[in-house]
Formats: sequence, C-alpha cells, structure tokens
Amino acid sequence: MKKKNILFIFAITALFFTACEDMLDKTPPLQIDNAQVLNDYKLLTQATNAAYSPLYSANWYGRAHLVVPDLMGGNAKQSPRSSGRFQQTYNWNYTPGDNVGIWTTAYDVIARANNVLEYIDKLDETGVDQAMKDQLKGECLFLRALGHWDLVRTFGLPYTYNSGSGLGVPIVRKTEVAEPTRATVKEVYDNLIVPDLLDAIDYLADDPGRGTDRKAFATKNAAEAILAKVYLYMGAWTNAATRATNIINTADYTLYTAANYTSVWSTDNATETIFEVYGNATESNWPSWDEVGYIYEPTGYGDVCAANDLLNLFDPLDVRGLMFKTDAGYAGYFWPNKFPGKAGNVRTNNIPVIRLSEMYLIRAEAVLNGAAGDALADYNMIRTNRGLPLAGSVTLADIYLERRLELCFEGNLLWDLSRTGRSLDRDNEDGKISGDIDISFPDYRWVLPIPTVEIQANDNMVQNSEY
Amino acid sequence: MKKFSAFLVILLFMGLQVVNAQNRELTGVVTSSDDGMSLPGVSVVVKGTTIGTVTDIDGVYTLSVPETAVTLVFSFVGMRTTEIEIGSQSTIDLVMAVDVLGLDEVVVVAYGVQRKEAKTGSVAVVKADEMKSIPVTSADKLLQGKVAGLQVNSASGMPGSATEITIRGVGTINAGTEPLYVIDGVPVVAGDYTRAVQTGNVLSSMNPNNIESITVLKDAAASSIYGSRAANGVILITTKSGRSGKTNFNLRVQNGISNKVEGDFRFMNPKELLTYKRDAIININRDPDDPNEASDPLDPKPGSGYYYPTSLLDETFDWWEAVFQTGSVQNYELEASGGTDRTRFFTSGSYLSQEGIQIGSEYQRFNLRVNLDHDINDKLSIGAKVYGAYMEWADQAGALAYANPVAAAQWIEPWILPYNDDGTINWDIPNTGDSNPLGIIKLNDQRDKQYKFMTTFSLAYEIIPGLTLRTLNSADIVLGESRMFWHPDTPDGGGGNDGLIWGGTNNNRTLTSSNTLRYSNTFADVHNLSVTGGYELMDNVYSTYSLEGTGTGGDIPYHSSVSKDKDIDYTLSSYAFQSFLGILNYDYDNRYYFQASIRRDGSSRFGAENQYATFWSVGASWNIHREGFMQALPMINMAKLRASYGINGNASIGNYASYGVYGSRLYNGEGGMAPDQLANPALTWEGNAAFNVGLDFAVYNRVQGTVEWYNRVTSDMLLDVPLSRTTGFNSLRRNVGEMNNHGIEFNVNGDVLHSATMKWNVGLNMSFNNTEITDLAGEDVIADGFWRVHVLHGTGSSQYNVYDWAGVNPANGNGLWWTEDPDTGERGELTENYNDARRFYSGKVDPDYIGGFNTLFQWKGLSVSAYFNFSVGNSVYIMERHYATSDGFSFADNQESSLIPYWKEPGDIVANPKPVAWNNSNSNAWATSRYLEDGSFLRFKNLTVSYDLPKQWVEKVFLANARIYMNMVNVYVWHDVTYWDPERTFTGGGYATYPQARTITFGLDLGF
Repeated sequence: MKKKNILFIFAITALFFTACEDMLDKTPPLQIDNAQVLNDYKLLTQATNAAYSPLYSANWYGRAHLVVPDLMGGNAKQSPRSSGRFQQTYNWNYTPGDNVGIWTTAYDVIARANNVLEYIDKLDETGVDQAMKDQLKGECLFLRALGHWDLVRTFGLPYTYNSGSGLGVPIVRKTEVAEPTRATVKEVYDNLIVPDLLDAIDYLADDPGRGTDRKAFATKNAAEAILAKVYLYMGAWTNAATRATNIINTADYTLYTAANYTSVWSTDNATETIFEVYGNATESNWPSWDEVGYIYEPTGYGDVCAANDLLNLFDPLDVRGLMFKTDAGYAGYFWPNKFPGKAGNVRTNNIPVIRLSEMYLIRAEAVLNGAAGDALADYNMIRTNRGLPLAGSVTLADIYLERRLELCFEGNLLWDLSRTGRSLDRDNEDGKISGDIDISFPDYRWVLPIPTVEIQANDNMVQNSEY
Repeated sequence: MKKFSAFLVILLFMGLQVVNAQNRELTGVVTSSDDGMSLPGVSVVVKGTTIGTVTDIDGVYTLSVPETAVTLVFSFVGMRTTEIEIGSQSTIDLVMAVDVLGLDEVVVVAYGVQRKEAKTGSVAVVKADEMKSIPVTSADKLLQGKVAGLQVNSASGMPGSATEITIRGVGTINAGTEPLYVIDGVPVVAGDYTRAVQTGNVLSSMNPNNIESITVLKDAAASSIYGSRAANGVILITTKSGRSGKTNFNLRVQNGISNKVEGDFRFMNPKELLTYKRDAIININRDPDDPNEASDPLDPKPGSGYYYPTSLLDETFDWWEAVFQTGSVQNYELEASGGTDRTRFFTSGSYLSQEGIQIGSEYQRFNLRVNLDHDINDKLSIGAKVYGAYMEWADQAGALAYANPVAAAQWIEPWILPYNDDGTINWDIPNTGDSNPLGIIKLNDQRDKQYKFMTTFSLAYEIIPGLTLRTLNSADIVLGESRMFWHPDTPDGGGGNDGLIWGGTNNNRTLTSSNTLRYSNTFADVHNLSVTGGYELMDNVYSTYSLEGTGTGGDIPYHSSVSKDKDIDYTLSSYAFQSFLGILNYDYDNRYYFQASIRRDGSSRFGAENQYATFWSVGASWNIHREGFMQALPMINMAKLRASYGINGNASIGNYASYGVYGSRLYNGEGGMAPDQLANPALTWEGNAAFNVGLDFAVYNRVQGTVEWYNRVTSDMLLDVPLSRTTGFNSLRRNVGEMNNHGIEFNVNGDVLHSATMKWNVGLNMSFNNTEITDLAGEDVIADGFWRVHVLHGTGSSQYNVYDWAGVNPANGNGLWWTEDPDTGERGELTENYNDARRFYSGKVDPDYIGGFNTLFQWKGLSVSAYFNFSVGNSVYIMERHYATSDGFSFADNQESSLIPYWKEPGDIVANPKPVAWNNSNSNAWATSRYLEDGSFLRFKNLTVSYDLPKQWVEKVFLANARIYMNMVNVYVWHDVTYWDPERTFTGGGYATYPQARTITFGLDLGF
C-alpha cells in the first residue's frame, strides 16, 4: 500500500474528530431546560399552573393548614378512632424536629412563582400581548403573597401584636441559592403581601381563561378578597371594609342558603367560592390517604373530630349544625362534613380558601371597629341564610362567634384568636390532652417552630424563642 | 488543530532519529529446555532497536542486523527472556529455559503491554488457564478470591446474574462504584441492562473461554490514564488471538447439574409448624381445637382464624421442595485458531444453556467471535475483532413479592395444597394474596432477550522504526427486548385486568475512537524510553420503550391481544467523553523505572463550569535484584520496590445531573411545568488521589509474592447538601464530601513440589481495607436506606443502626430490649417495651478482610485444583427473618426452624420469645440487632479434577490433545448466617434472594 493511501486513511479519521466539536453539549432530552421553559409563553403558563399544585399538598390546604388552626383553636379534638395523627397539634407541643411542612411547601410555591416573575417581562414572543403576560404575572404575585401570608401566620405572631415587630419569615422575591434572614411580621405584610396583592389586582383578569374549575386559578376578585382578609388581620379596618364591599358588590357570588348549605361542599364553581384549591386524584400533589377528607372521615383515618366545645355553640335551627357525620361504633362523636369528597372518593375535595360569607363577616368586624357601614345588616345576612332568626343587635363577640360557626374546619380559629388577642379556652373532653389545656395569648406556642432542617441549612435563620 | 499539537511535537522529536548502517545476516534455531522441541514464534530482537523477527514453525530465524548490533534478545511466552552477545557469530542457536516464575511474562496494561518486571503500579493478572473448565457465565465471576483487594459479590445465584465488584473499598456514597471495563483496549458498557428479569449481566455475552487474560489496575499509576473513569479501578480484558502456524481446533463440551447447598438452614416441618402455631394460639388463651375459633364459625375451615386442629397434618405439601429444582448446565464450544506469516486468526462459537435451581429460571447464550490480525506490509497492519451474542434470561419476581417463589414458600403453610381435588391449580392461598408459585410458573412469563454486537477495527502504522501511529475504533451495541406477562388466572393478571402485559425494548450504543502515537527506543543501550500521546472519543446513547396493556386474555399472551389500558413510555439519555492523553515510560538498564501519565478529560456529564479536568500519575520502581550487590544473594530471583501517586476521578454521576430542569405536573385540568432539579453548573467528577507502595519478590525459583500498602482519598464527593427551603428545594448535589480507603494487600504463591512429573502449587491472597468518612458536608450521619447509615469518622463508613435486642425474659417469654442510659448514652436497663429500646450502631457492611487461597496438584496428566475465598468481619441483615422468625407476628405464615427452641415455661433460657398469635410486641422489628448477623464466611468455591490423556494415545486417533475433567462450583460454604447463603449485596440487605447453587459439571476438551 502506498504511503499516500495510508495517510489518507488517517486523515479521514482525523476529520471525524474535528467534526465532533460540540459532542460534549448534551442536554436532557426528556425534560426541559430552565432557560427553555422560562422563555416561552406556553411553557411559562405551564410553569404558572404548576405553581398552584403544591397548594393541594397535605402540608398546606390539602390538610395541615386546615386541621392545625381548628385543632389548636379548640374546634376539634382527637377522636376515639385516633391512632395518634395530630396528637401533637392537639397538645400544642410542637418541636423544631417536627419540620412543619408548610415551610418547605409554601417556599416551593414562592420559588415557582418567582421563576415566572423573573422572566415574564423579558419575554418577547410574537402573538403574546401585555394582557396575556399580566395575567400570569398577577397569578404569580397572588401565589407569592398567599405563600408569604400563610407562612407568616404559621411562624409569626400577629401583625396586631406589638405592632408586628415580631419575627416573620424571609421575604423571597428571587429564586437563588441563598440563606435569607427573617423579616419582621410588619415587613412581610407591608413590603410583600399587601403590595403583591395590590399589584395582582391590577394585573389579573376576572376570568383566568383556563382550568376545569375557573375558581381554582387566581382572578382579580380572588386577590381582592384575600387582601380584604389580610387587612382584617392587620387591623386596617377601613381598607378591609372597602375591599370586602368591592367583592360583595360584584354580584359574581351568591351566599349559600339554609336550603342548599349541606350540599355545596366540594363542588366545582360553588356559588360562594371566590378562590379554592382544586382537588382530584390525578393532581400532581394529591395527598391521597393524607387528604383532609380522610382525617375527618370516621371510616377513614378519622383521627380528628369536632369538639363538643364547638358543637354546643350551634343553635338547633342552624343548618351548619348539620354539617357533621357520625359512626355507629362511636356514639356521641361527630366528624366535620365540609370535605365529603367528589364522585364517591372522600379523599378528593376542593378546598375553599376564601368565600363570600367571610366578606360579610370581615366587613361587619371592620365596621364594629370603626369603619363605615352596617354591621348588623351583614350579621343578619349570614344568620338568615343559615336558618337563624334576625338579630336585633350585634357585638364583636357575636361576630367572633359567627366566624367560628361559619368558618369552622376551614383553618381560621387559631389566628382569629391570636389576632384579636384572645386566649385558648377549651375543655379536655376525653382526657386526651397531655400538657396545658388552656393557653393564654401571648405564649411562645402560638407560633410554630421553624423546622430544624431549615435551621441547619441556613446559618442566618433564627428560631422562634423558647423552641 | 490544538489536538494535534502534541503529535507534532513528538513527530519533530522523532525526526532526529534516522539511522542508517551496513547490515549482516544472523540465523539460528531456538528450542525449549523442557522437551527439546523447537519453538516457533519466539521473538528475536536486536537489543535497543526495533529490528527483529520471529522464529518459524521449525524454530528457525534469520535476521539482518546492522554491524553496530551488540546483543540479541530472545523472548517467548512462558520462557525466560535471554540475551546473547552477537560478537562475530553468524549462527546463534539457543535452548530457552522455562520461566517458572513468569517474571518475563508480558501483561496487558493500559494502552499497551508491559513486562511484569517493568511495572511501577499495582497490577494484578488472571490468566486464561486459571479460568478454563470453570463453567461460569461471565468473566467477572472468575475474579472472586483471585485478586487481592478486589471484592466480588454474587448476591444472586440466578444464572447469568449481575456481579458487584469493588476494588480497594467503596470510595463513594452517591456516585457509581463499578470499575471501568476495557475489552481489547475499548471501554465497554457493563452492568445489568435487563428490564424484566431480576438480574442480568452484559458481560455474560462474552464467552469466558475467549479470554486470554484479565488485568486489574488497582492504583493510580496503573489506572489514572483512564482519567475521570478510573477511580473505582479498571479491569482490562484481553481476548485470544491466533498465532502463525497450523490451524488448531478445540472442542469443549460440558454437562452438569446444580442444586442448592444444604446446610443447617431450613423451615419448620409441618408438625413443628403446627405445634408452634397451636402454642401461639394457646398463649393468647384461645383454643386451637375449637371450631368456633375459625374465621367463619358456620363453615369452620381448619387453618383459618384460630382454629388449628391437628387434622391439618393429614395432608401436607412441601413448598420448599416445590420451588427448587435440580438445575442443569450445558456448554458446547468450537474454537479454531492459526495463521500464516502475515495473517493470524482466532474464531470461536459457543452455546451455553443453564437451568437455575429455582423453578422457572434459565439462561442461555449463543456467542460467536472472530479476531483477525493482518500485516499488510512491514509497516502497516490491521486488526478486526468482532463478536456477537444472543442471550436470554427467564425468571420470576424477586424480593418481597407474592410472586417470588422463594418468598411464597416462606409464607405458604404446608397444609395448603397446590392443586384442588380436581387437579386444577389452587388459587385460594391467603398467605400470598392468592398467588400460587406453581401456577405462576406455568402461566406467567418474565423474560429478557439481548443481542450484543461489538466490533473493533484497528490500524497500526510504523512511520519510522520505533514510531507507531495506531487507531482503534469500535462500536458496542446492546439491543434488548423484555416482556412480562401475567395470566388472567393469576392474582396480578386477574381481576379487572383480564391479562396484563408489559414489554419493551432498549438500545444501548457506544462509539469509541482511540488514537495513539507511540515512540519507543533505547539510547546508549541502557536508557529505554517510550512516549505515547493520544486522543480519544466516546459517545453513548441509551433509550428504552415500554408498552403496557391489559385485556389480553390468556390464550395469546402477546401485545397483539391488548384491548385496554394501553400505556406507553420512553426514556432517552446520552453522554460523551473527549480526552487527550500522554504516557511516558523510562527505565535505566532495567533497574530504575519511571512512569508518568496525564489525561485531560471532557465530559458532557460535567457542569459547564467544570467541563474539562486533568488527571495524572507518577510511578517509580527499583529492581533491586538487578543491582550488582545482589549477585551475592542468588536465591533472590526478584526484588522490586515501587511507589506511585496519582489523581483520577469518578464520572459515574448520572448524565444530566448538572442541569436545572423542569418536569411535568398537572393542576386543575391543565398541564404544568415545575422545577425538578436545581442547576449546578459546577457539578463535576469525584476526585480520587491514590498513593501506593509495594514490594514484589521471588525467591528460590519457587515462591513469589507481593505486599502493598495504599491510601486513596476521595475528595469532592457528591453529597446532597441541605439548602434553605426558600430555594424551593431541599438539597443540592454538590462536590463536597471526603472519604478515605486505606489498607494492606498481599499475595504469595509458591511451588511446594516441582519436578518433571509432579507439581504442587499453593497460593494465598488477603486484603485489609479500612474505610473512613472524613467529611459529610456538616452532617455526622447520612441514612442509606433501611437501617444502614454512613457515619462520619466511624470504623467502617457504612454501619447498621438497629434497636438493641436483649433476648428473651426467662420469666414470661417476652422479648427484651436495652434502653439507653440518659446519662452515659450507653446501654441502660432491660425493657419489654420496644418503644423504650435504644437504637445503636452495630456491625458494619464492609468486611475486615477478604481473600482467597488456592492449590494445584499435578502428576503427569492428572491435575487437581481447588480454591477458596473468604470474607471476615462484615455484618449482614437477614430481612427474611422479619416474617420467617416472627414470634407469631406473621401468624398465618410458614416459619423457620431456628425459632426452635422457643420459650415455653418460666425459667426457660432460650433465644426465641414465646409465640403469640398476631404478635404486635415488635419482637420482630424491621431494624433489630436480633436479625443482624455475622456475615463472615469461607467458601470452597471451586474444585477441578482433570486428566490430560497421554499424547501417544490421543495421537492414535489424530487428536492433538484430549482432556477430561470434573468441576464443582460452590462446593461448600462455612458460615453462621440464618439463610442458605451468607452473601448479600454490598449494602448487606436483600430479601428472599436467590441462593447460590452448587454445580457439578463433567467436561471434555479435544484439540486437533
């Protein structure tokens, strides 16, 4: 063989190598690169959709965020069926090692929302107008505000206590590997929750334009209704009343009546619902056996049932007193029936986050605290739709009681007590409480401990005192 | 062009070495000192040059040498290399001496070959004749107990199963632990690519009898040239090549049977079991003879509820006997090799079929290989190695599954019969969710088929004497087809499924190109230099398709009859490496050796910020026996001191670990995308810095051995570092941890007897490895699944964390635990309450030491060889005992005989608590020191007795040689583990594992 031919063979081999300059660029083919997702409107929409899904986690609206405030507040107790789930909550003896789950889950939602917020304005895509971008922006601002608010309610003392000077939670506006410090409660409300919701109201449309359940995506009304409740928590009475009035006046929502009250729960697009978390077994964050419906189901886990303290408060005429189920084996015990399940599966429920009744109650409370309006009319509006006779007068105590009756098992009582400076007053009905039965406000236990996993990973994290 | 700059420098350097001189002719005959026969194929080279030739069939050589030539070097496999002064002679005949100690043997090392005497690094070799006649399915299984520092785990006795190998300890937590396999110079795909069966092994595609030698590269000097893939060691497999001369045929036939190794371990017989259960019932104050205790008192079925009358023993069935069988093995091979002056070939075809000892398990393989070498002219040669194999595995479910026959037999009570009175299969078996292993074997199908093709094409060109350009290009392809079928009559295929089928294909394709330029020469007779530069590429793509569906019915068990629930899935993943490498070898007068290597690796797996890395090593050795002062000690044949240090890496970190990616979600009827993985552009290989010092010795022409000490430090170890949850993630995989493996290895081998007709050889190797984790990124302990944990600064990095079982309370037969003393943290008091039990670290996953010994006795044509391997100091967790020695927890299930004796009356001092029906005391807790056992064992791994028929007999029937033999694999195991076999996976667990079989084969080898 000629030397020339030999060189030719080697030269071909050499060519093969130089052709492979980019051979080390290999991106994951079946997942999408961050940069790709965040630079495409359709994918940004999907990134926004997925930012909602952890709301349904058992750590949040899927269970814990509903059960904990009612159990600690005294609406619920450990049932005779209990195998110990939520016993600790009932005892008020959380430890940092319990790694309260909403911490991780809410920050996950905040991170997902921030990813979209960081890129949405940079998007320059044909056929994508400002309104389309604004809707996603508004939704993500809404989710970011909701996340921070539920975190600061769980881990910080109320805004109304010591002017909100207590430790809140880190304000996170950008997804980055960092070790942020805790802002004060006031800072979280003033600098993040309120401005984000105000922006969201501006950006959001009345209809999200997608979703099996249109009320399970954020709308202008959803942001405004949450803002009304946030103002209530801040003691900003006039603002709270104004925002509540705006929602009441939309006529988009209708109060449940005594006739339909027992049949509306967990239906899509229920008339009172302003914003809810969509529940279905195919959801990515479906909690399955840990769904709230199952812990309140006597033939399910059924660990938690209603306290007599609550049951005794219902007037016999009150239709809400019928919202309980019983079990033949456990006479004298009642399990809440606000999460009856969909299509026969008690483990799939839409979770109401905010609904019309509360708008009336917010306004009434605000008025009784000095805002302009007719508190008695609002109070009677609720009462008459629940089978109760008209009342002749109304006090703050009446509104507090009405909130407890109307909103029980929707995750409110604990914070309604703390934001109004009231203490826990309950009975040790079955002797199942170990430790303190009544707990005065303030006390370190009114906030939950920051999870150990966070303290370990974040050098700047400060634990709530006495934990 | 940058890539070629290294080549160009070398080329320029070469240009200075043009030699021209007058020539003269030399000739001669080479014979063997052993039998006086002429030796063909002996290499005859002018020392310090590449001028040389080989002897022909009659042992004759002729060589044209320059006038300046001083010495001729004769070398041949198995013979001592001999140097002869040329002087004025024109005929030089030589009687070559047999190289008893193999000091002149040439071993395959990274990117070349090396004389044993020249090594600087830690290299161990297993040769072809050590493997012949052992009927294993894959070469990796041959290494157990053969190489110091190499640990082989065969957790499953399934034919064609995967093998776990670690070299010098496990040096990682989250990256891969497998060594790099290199076949004939090409890094290959190894591991398990089956998808339906429990275990498979791509290496089993290779017929072990096609292997010439296996080299294990243990330290940095030997392996660092493989860069980011070398940290777990490198295993080089070299296949056989043909030799010039007449064509040799070899026919091998093996036939055998296999059985499980019986020991003390067994389950209770029906009578023992019934007594035990009746006691368990009586202990809760119920009456086993009362039909009202049956679960349905209106139709009191014996063996239901608490109704366990003695009439249950009227008819029983031995499920254990039923799920095991006598396995079989058959192997047929035909091999031909030979060649002419310019062309050499080796070709072989084989068929292996093995039936396992567990019902329904089998493996078979067809294999064809052709290795060709051709010299186009004096300067240019080409080579091609091609092999293809078809493999097929079948088995049933494994581990903790009702459909696992071994698990089912642990559960099903003996009075439950496999067939109904009318002969149909009994599908009413409460213990296993109605799964009947005998029915499942008949009706279900679980199977993998694989097609493996590997072709390697090489071209070598000697540009000028001493300077060779070589290119090696290879395609390595594995195609697989998997299926699982569940018949409608079985629990899994029944119900609403009406037959369930899953199947799919997988494709694995690797392209490799390796190109080197080597220069070697001798200067001034004593300076031997060799320099290699190279460029290498590797590209791998792996994809899978999966297709599932139901409604097949039972008649046509294929995808064509799927009628509902159709589901498809697809995966795709790929990676690439691009590397530049350089090797320098220098020695002064065969006395002082120096070696250095460098490799620059780029990989698609590494993050953008760290895409390339440089790895290197240096090694040196001193052949003390070559020194003048050693002439006074002639009994020392070899004494070699060597040391090496180097840096390499572990790139088994997953293909896309550095990318931030989004994955699919669903919310409110809308598709979503959420972050699945946080980006870490700095993510890269794990580093491994290895130091090795060793002494090789050979004395009295009889005994030789090696002692080595090593220390290897893993740095930048991948750990999941916890993140502030405000990132939306719990942790990020980062290169932060550090661990260390250090230890001592030795092997010694000697001839006790050595005469013309008789030889007796013994050998021993042992290795002591210590693993210590020195940095867990701020953690003290990291969980490793089940009860294993990685512990910082512990003895043995991987330990068990179990509840402290304290035996049985003689007063009442309850289980006892130790509490923790709150002051000292040590053992406190005894308690019967599991919730008060302390949890402590006990036992480690890694052994204190492992090793093997072997012996070979030969007398005339008769040969007996045996080898043993052992492991001492490791603990294994026998998960089976949670159910099988459950004190009544698994009340309805079968129980092990080790529960006898159990507590019966106050004062009984026994190991097992009193049985309590549906016991909930946690005496059988999942993590308990009760089931953590000493995993030490000694295994009589192999015994071979063979007879080479005398030449004068075989020649009468026109044969070259004939050999008959008997071989026994896994003759016996000495151990204290409450199971058939003491070996578990590297992680020490496993459930209802397939025990290793004892296989006896008879074989015949014919050469003609």
